[in-house]
Order: sequence, then C-alpha cells, then structure tokens
Amino acid sequence: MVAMIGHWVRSLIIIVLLGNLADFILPKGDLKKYAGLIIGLVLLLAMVSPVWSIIHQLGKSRSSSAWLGVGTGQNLSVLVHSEQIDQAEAMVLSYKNVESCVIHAGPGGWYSAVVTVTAPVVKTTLSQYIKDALAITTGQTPRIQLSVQTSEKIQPSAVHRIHS
Amino acid sequence: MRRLWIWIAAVAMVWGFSPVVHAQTVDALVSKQAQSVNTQSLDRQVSQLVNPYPQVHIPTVSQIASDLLHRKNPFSLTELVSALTQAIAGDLETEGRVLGVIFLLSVLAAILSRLTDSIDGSGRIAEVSQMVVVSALILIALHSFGLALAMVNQLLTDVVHLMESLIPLLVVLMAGSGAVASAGIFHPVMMLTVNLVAMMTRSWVLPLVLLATIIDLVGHWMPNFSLKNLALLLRQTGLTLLGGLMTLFLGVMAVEGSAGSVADGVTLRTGKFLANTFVPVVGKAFSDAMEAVLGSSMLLKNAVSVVGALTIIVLVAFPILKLFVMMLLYRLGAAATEPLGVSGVHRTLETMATAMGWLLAITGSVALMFFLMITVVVTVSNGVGL
Repeated sequence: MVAMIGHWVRSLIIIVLLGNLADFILPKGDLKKYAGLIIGLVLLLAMVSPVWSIIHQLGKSRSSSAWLGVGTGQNLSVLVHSEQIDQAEAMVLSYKNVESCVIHAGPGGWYSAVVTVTAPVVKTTLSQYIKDALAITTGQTPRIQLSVQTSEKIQPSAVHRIHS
Repeated sequence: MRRLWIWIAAVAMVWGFSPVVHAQTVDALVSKQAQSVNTQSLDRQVSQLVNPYPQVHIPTVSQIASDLLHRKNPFSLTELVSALTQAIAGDLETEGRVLGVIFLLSVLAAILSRLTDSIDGSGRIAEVSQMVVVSALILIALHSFGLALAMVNQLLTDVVHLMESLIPLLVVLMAGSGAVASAGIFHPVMMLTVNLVAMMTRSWVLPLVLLATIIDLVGHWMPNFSLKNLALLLRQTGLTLLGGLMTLFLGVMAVEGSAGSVADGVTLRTGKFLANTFVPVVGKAFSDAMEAVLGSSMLLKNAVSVVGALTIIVLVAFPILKLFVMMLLYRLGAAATEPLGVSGVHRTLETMATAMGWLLAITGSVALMFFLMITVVVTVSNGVGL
C-alpha cells in the first residue's frame, strides 16, 4: 500500500517537473496559456485516477480481502505460534546457567527443547520452568521433551536427532 | 516423659523448618534471588545498545537492585548531562558547517539575481540561476534529511530490540512476584503493541512524512505547478495514524492494567488468607515468608524496569537532541536568508525545519509510548496483594 502511494507520488512529481520544464521553455503567448491548462488537467487526472480505481474495486468486492489481500488466516496463526515459542525461549534464557535454548513444536501439544547449560542443573526443575514459560506465552498446558547439553562438549549426533 | 520429648521435637521442627526467611536479612534474600535469575542477556543487550555512547554507563540489574536497597543513586545524572552537552557541541559543529555552505549558496544566488536584473530585463536568467541554486540546496537538505530518517529508523529498531529482551525477563519476575494473571495478560498484548507501533511507524508514518517533504521541496524548486495540498494530505494522514496508534495504545494499557491487577490482588489475598487461617501452626510464618519472597522479587523486577527505562532515555536523548539542533539551525538559516530576497531558499529551509520538527514529534511520541509501557506494567503489578 505504501509502495503504491510512493509510485503515485513519484509519477505526480515527474509530471510536475515536466510541466514546469515545458512552461519554462515555451515562449510567451497563447500557446503557453493552453499548455498550462493541459498540464493542469493531466495532473488532475493522474491524481484522481488511482483513488477512483480503488473506490471502484471496493464497490465491486465487498469483502475485507480487497483491503488485506486474499488469505486463509493460517499464516498469521503460524507466525503467532512461532513468536510465542521465541518468547518462551527468551524466558528460559533468564534461568540460571542457561546459555542457549531451542524449542521446536511437535504434534499434539508436544514440544522438544534443547537447552545448553554452562553448569549442571536440576532437570526436573528446568523442565517445569520451561513448561511454565510455554504456558504463559501460549496459554495452553504443554508437554515437553527436554534434552540438556553442557556447553563444552556439544555432540552433533544429539542435535541431529532432535532436529530430525 | 515421652510426651515431653515429643513436644520438644515438635517445637524444634517448627523452629527449624518454617521461618527460613526470618533467619536471613533482606539483603541476602535479594542477592540470592538476583543470582537465581539470569539477567546476563539483558545486560549484554543493554551494553551493546549503549555502545555508541561510551561516556554513558548503565549499571547492571543486580547493581541497581543493591543500590535501591541501600538507598543509593544508581545512575549518575551529571555523566549523562555532560555526555549530552558534548553531543550537542559535536552536532552544532557538523550541522553548522552545512548551514555555512547554505549561506554561501544563498548569498551567491542573491548576487546573481541582482546582476542579471541589470543585464536583461525579462528576468528569465535570474529565474534560471535561482533554480540552480535551489536545486543544490535541495540536494544538501535531502541528504541531511535522509541521515535523520535513517537515524530515527535505527532508533526504532534498537528500542524494539530492547523491549524484546526486556519483556520476557519482566514477565518472569512479574509471575515471580505474584502477578500471575497480569503476566499472562500483559505478555501477548505488550509484544503485539510494541511490534505494531514500531511497524506502523516505520512503514507508514515515516514514509508518508518523507513523501510530503519531497513534494514540498519540489514545489519550492519549480513553483509554477506545485502540489502543496497533496503534501498536506499525506502528512496529515501520517500524523493522524500516529495519534490513533497512541490512543489505542494508552487505552489498551489502561484496561489491561486494571483487569490484571484486580485478578492478581484477589488471588494473592485469598492465598494469604487461606494460609493464615487453615494451616494450623506455621500458617502465619508461611504467609510472612511468601510475602518476603514476593517483595524481594518485586525489588528485582523494579530494578529490571529501571534498567529498561534508563536505556530508553539514553537511546532516545541523543537522536532527539540531534534532530532538535538540526531544526534550530534550519530555522536560523531560514530567518537569516529571508532578507536576501531569494524566495526559494528560505522557503526550502523553512520546509526542512518543519520536517525535522515532525521527525522529532514522531520519535518523541514513540519513545514516550515504550517508556509508559514499562512504567505502567511495573506500577500495575506493584500494587498487587502486598
């Protein structure tokens, strides 16, 4: 929408510049008067035609999709969910000794969390903490599968297993 | 005899187990809690954001918590003020140089127009010379406007990053200080409003103001056909949008705040009452301990919000001062070039000053919104229960 307005304004500015140039170059006389009138008319048309076409379109299709584009609404919920998971990850980062945290959503309310820690932690407490964080952000009671890594030795095989 | 032993054992257990908190000082409790919450990521983010201003030092969360507890001032105001004065001096110097170039150009234009007046009577050459000078002026002005716009954009990104690292910590501590319902309600709403405000400002308000300014400048450059009212329309649209966002934001904050705090107050009071009444011997001690723990995590939460508010102040103060200096210098230039009689020059400078003023207003109101968000969230959940 903003890009459209930018396009519109750009074409208007180009017309104005050309009109000024013509006005400048033309010799004084009758021709100049008529040229000014015609440039004014062209400007009027260029200014009004997009507005007219938008109103026309809205009149034809009365749904909100004319404004927002066609969509099923699924993309938004996916986006919201990933944002909620990101926030839960950020909240887990405030736990003591936690260095990084990656949470993936699985089917049926299951979440798999991979947490890297700098010192040993109590796994049940951490898992309850992650559950609470997910509950706060998503508003549901999640079930989680937690795997804890210490930051010195990260096994690539373990990471691979979680991602696959 | 055996009964006596049982009694002694029971009393010892009560003494030993229940009032853990009474044995500790508030200091120890707070420091324990500060250690149990990992605030490193927030501190790192804050120091990264404040990195461009090396004179300003923002204390960490645990420093602020202990300073608040010992009634010390956690942040030195004189440091900030001296850094700001230095920044103003630097801005004046760089922008003053630009203004000097503009003065030179306008004096040249004035001399040219007088000279051409004496050469030919029709005034066409004077018109051309004025157009050339104004076009150079517009190039300079647009360059500095582009810099200001990029600065405002960067500021918005920075503040959103700050809020995104601040909000999870704040929500954790809110839940820890008993405001569970507030934490649950505030979290999605805060994230939504922060991102909505930043997105709308970046992709709607700022481009509309930019377009309006460009149209105005073109109008001064070639005054025969100008589109002043179109510029007015675009600017009005952008600023109305900003005003609407602000109204929406304040309304949402007020409603959510009152709803969440009432719910939390009820829950906590009920919990305390139940513990006091129905847990026979240690009920009172238990509810006292609960209060102490909640209070100390409230202190920590306030420390986090102080860090957030300070960082927002520091992040916003420098760009706003720079914009203000630019606006002032453009106004000065407009005032000084008006008597020279070249109308395009002083109108251009006037337009630039107005545009800087709009940028200033936009930056200020967005920063105010985020600032209010932090303070509202904290004061709302402070009133809970205790």
